[in-house]
Amino acid sequence: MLVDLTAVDYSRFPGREDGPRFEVVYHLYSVAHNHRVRLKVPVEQDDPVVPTASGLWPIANWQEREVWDMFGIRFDGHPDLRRLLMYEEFEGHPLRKDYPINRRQPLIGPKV
Amino acid sequence: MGVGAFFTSKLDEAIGWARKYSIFQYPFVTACCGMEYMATACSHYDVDRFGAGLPRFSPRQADVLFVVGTISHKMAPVLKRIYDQMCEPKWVVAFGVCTCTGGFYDNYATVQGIDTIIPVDVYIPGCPPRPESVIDGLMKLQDKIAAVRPALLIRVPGPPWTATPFSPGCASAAASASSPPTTTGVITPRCSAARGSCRPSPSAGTTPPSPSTCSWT
Repeated sequence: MLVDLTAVDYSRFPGREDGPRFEVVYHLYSVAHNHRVRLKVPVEQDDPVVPTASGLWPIANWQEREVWDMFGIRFDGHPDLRRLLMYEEFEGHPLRKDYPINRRQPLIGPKV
Repeated sequence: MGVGAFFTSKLDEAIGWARKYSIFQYPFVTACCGMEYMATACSHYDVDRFGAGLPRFSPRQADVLFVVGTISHKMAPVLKRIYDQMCEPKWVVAFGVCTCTGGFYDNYATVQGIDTIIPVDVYIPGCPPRPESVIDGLMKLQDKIAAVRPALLIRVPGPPWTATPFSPGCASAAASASSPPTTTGVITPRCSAARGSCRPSPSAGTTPPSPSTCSWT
């Protein structure tokens, strides 16, 4: 069972300067055996692509959309990779460490 | 002062007095300030004393838009549309510091003050504001409503309201009974220039005098 799917940006992490920038983290849980597995997938900055897990667990659909929204990591084979939390006109990926904290987005008016 | 002007001013005073005690509010509640708004509206503090005890949950029936709580960028078009659906005359109250300036949500998701979207009449700061300060803001709004002169005219300058004196689609009985402003020659601006400057109208085909924060697409 997929409990959680998220990502980490290590671009300013002490001691991780030369490694891959992102890590996609899968938290797995087995109800039958009461085992937990944490799976970390390093992702390079230049082409951040990870194969999708939405075929295995349907819940991964939205969680991968959130990771795409917040970190800009694409998921190959995802059926509907749109932004989940932010709106479509949002520029950038706000949970990346190089996103300025006080950056202002353009205001989006109502659809006419 | 002629007799006619005397009666007109007295009528304006009476209309302003009546309006300030019949505030039909639209509570646009999005966050934790809503609890404080409910506390203010309930019987301990009782905004019904000020004639504001009847919230209307349709913007077309409301006079005052209470924006209560954090407005995110995703919610901003909804708020703008709600404001556009309200009939003139209308007022806006920014309830809580999130609506005033964005508050401590200085981040990627929050609108830094709703006056970047819609004009605001009264700001009530606080996180959340005490009911006393809400009532104080409500009384300030009452003073502002009562001070509108002339109360019979729709007081919105600029396009598209310059061609027609009354707001389209909202011709109330009082508005239709009054004389048009071209005969009286008086169109008082509703508020200061900053108050009416943020009025984007993409459907009007004209460019409103909007600051750079009003970059609607």
